[in-house]
Amino acid sequence: MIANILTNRIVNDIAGGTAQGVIIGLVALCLVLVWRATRVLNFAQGPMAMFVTYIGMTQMDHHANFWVAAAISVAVGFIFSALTEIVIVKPLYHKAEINPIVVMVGMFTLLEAVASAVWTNIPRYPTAPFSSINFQSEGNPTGLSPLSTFQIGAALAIMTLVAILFNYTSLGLKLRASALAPEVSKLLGIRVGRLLTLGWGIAGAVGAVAGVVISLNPGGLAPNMLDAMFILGFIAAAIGGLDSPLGALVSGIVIGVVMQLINDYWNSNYADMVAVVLLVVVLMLRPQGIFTKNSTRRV
Amino acid sequence: MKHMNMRRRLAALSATTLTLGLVASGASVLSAGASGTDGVNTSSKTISIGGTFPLSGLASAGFQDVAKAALATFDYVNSHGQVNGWSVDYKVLDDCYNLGVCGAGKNTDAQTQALVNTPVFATVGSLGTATQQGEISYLKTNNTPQLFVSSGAHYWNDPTSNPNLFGFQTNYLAEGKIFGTYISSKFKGKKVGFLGQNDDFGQDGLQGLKNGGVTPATADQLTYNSTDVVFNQGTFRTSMAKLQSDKVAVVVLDTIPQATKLALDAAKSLGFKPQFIISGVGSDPQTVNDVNEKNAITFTFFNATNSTSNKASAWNAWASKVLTAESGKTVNGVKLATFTSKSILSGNQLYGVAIAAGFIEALNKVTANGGTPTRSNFVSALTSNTLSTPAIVPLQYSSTNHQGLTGGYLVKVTATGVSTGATKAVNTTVYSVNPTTQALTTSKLTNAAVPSEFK
Amino acid sequence: MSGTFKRLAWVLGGLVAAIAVASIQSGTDAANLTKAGAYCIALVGLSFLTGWSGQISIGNSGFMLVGGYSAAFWTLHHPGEPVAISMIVAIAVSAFVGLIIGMPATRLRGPYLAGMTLAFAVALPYVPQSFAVSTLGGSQGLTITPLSAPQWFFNLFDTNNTLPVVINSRFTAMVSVVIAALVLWLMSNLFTSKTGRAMRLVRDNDVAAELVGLHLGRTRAQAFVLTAALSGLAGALLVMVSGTASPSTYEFGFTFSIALLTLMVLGGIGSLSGAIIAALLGVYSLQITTWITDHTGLGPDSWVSAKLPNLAPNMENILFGILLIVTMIFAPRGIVGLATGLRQKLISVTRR
Repeated sequence: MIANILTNRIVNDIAGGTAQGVIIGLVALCLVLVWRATRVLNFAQGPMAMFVTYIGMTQMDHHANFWVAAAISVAVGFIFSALTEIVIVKPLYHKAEINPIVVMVGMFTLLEAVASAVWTNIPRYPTAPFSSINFQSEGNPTGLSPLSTFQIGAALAIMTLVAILFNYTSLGLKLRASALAPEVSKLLGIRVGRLLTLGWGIAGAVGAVAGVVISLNPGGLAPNMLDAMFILGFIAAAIGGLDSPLGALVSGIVIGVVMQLINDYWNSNYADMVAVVLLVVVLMLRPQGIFTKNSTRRV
Repeated sequence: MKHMNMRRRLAALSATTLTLGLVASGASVLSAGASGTDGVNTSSKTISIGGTFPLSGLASAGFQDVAKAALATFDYVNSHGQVNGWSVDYKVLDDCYNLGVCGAGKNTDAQTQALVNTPVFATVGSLGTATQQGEISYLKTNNTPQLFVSSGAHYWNDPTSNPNLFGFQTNYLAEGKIFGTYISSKFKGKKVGFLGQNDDFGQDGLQGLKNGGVTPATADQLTYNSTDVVFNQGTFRTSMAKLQSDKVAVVVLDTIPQATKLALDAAKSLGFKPQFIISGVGSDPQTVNDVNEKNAITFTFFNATNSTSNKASAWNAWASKVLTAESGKTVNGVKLATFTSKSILSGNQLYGVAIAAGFIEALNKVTANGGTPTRSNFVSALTSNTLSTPAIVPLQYSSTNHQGLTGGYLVKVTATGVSTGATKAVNTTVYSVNPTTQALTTSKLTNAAVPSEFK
Repeated sequence: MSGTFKRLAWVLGGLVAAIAVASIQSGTDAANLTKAGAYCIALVGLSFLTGWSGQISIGNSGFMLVGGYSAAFWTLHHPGEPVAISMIVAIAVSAFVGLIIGMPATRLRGPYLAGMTLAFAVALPYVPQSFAVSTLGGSQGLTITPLSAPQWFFNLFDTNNTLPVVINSRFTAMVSVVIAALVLWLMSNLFTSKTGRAMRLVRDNDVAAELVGLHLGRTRAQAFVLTAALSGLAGALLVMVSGTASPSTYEFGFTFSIALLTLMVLGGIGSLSGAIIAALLGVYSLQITTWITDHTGLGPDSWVSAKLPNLAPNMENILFGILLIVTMIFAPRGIVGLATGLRQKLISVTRR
């Protein structure tokens, strides 16, 4: 009975789709974190994560083990993202909405070009400490492998950490306050500027986790590895609502699972369109995304 | 934002327009000057040709080796005896395969237009099906031959409407038929599955398979979109799971290298171990770089590439010599790859050497006895001669057939990885498929000699 | 400025530009200017949408695709009819698509609009590729005979028997530049018209706009239709020159939408001269990069390239990325804004 469920086609699709979906969700979460903190749409989220993943994972060539390499990626991800905020994003607050977008497009272009100059476009395949062979149940493959279980687990763990940080710590409270009401926060003696930098840093670290997780997939580590994920992640974030971390994760997973179900039961040619159709439908019904609470229009 | 008043705006505008006009109409400041009227410079005895390839971006891994090997070959021949006193100036331009964020100047249209206006004698070896299809009309109108298009589509063989368009490699229909013929003799009665790209590549491949006597069950004929390799990797998992649950024993992949890798990895994670038969376009073990590809059977129109193939094939040995001599040089602004006499050739490198060799052979015919190349005598030299290249089948065109190579043989992947990937011949049967009648003939592999013009 | 003088200036400027372009010696420059004309039209459209009605679109490559395909489709089915009709069809069809996309889009703001338009641009190439394959040619696309120079042009401008190729490019460059000049003229009139002022008000203060009785949605939708029509015209122009409309055409992919956005900002948002500069920057970026790397010792032969063989092909994007970041931080109003600022400084210094 249990074996039947574990190797059931739909269950397998849901499991496989979730493994894809959490990565979309992680990228979406980064976008939401940055948006909530600073009202900037970080177009370079993908390449920034890619870049720091390279920095960490290439340490495996120098005999670092996977966990050390991953930790380096995450740490560098935090520092790099925070520095980016200080150096190139800070001058752009309170400027036209399009300026930070364009700066981040510049960052996108620059980082991908530097990465392919330094590490070439030939993908690298970091050795994962987990097997990618699916668990078997009575001789039939299930939908998950140790690797995809790790990927889902890592994503959920990060998500939980972020939730705890924002909802149950005083730092999280300050972070939320400085994002939502910077003027009031200043009056209360909160150092808003630093907290905005911290918000970017956290998003950078989460992005690095997404980068490390995706570099273990068959596509490997390549300069463009997160480009498609960025588009899907952006769509997921818009569907969920750019102010909602939970919405980002949920819509990421939904997109991943629905795509996989269409691959299996309909025609994979239509799967690419799912995210787009979902976005259009959702924005028609709720222009501010599903999970965002109705707020008054900012003028 | 403050706005300039009308007069100032207008002044600025006309100033910009004027400057632009004057700059452009003066001596061409930003572009190189023209040489001759059709890319042929009779005083310096130089013939200028060009090609567009992805040198940066997503598609450049693997494909850039084609351009660099061709460039190396032309440069080597220029400095080792030339072609009856003529040298070839090969301009390789980066078109980024029209993919990704690559800068507004790097696309096939812009780079082809730049070549045509230089002008070049012809485009030679430009890479890609969709990218090159987009240039047929433009090149035809501007009377520039489009030679040796690097694509296995069958569109290049249409001499009636496009007399100056020439294909190069064995097309997907022929490759499919060869696979079908091999499968029906070697894996008789085994269940066959198919995964192909959802365009002419997959469609022609499947048709060829059917022509060769193998028709997979409808449920086992699967497709993917070329964009799925980045947007929808999950489709490879569901495809392999379907073939696995249908108990398929032989899987034919008409997939690009990234898709090949995704399919092989998905099969591995499902514990699905069929015999893989992979299109030559998506199987180069140095590009796919996946240990699971070992023992897959693939198709090639070159000699197998491994550590001893230079001894078995005179052409492979010559290609290695050229790439070693040109290793790391910069030619026409392109830095060539590092290559030592111990390196194993990749399929892409042999491909580049082959297109250059084909051009040099035709040029050799035209310029023998002091002839001067023109577009028309070059095209007639192509259609009236059999050209010797590293390919194991002759490069032969006629006035009614512009296909190019028509066959090849089967090899098995013996090692994988960047610069270590290698293949070994399955047997010595060379297949050939007539592009018009689709009739299949076989012959035995021979070690063709390298003509004396290749020093 | 009096109307007559203004018109005269435009006609004169257009004429000079046309003649100058038609007598360019280098075919490559002519081909580049052909593209620049089309890019300029697309940039003006986008610049108008963003600079004058405050909406962000990452979907203009989609409208270019619609225009390009419409022109090719019409030309295929009505051979021998004037090119102008194909262009007008392209404008009409893409304006209609702009209306369909624009109506719901007007409800969205900022990143949501960006997301929606990006999704449109990503999805659109799938339409000819996967649906209506028989009418739109699938992944092969539609092929027409490209625009080439008529006899009178040869008689007028081919004084020393140049290559027909180059004459063709000079002709297409002239056509493209003239159409671009026409668009610039129309847009400069629109900027000062009542509609233009209404759009600016909607951008700057939508509450005030509503108070004076402007219909926000309608004004925004109008802007969308206009930007779509201009993008469509640009797409049609590119197809008439290259002879092919296909899903893999560079300008029809979403990455070109992003390229347009960055070029527009570099030139200067909402400025017509900015659009011209941006278009030239776009088509000459590769040559400019090569020039810079050759003169700074960063080319493929340099010591850096010996260490990083893959640097040279990526140099363009490295420089472009740096340029974007630096411009946004130090000259957020683009090259035109920088030039205006410098001139004002100069004037204030000399007057002292």
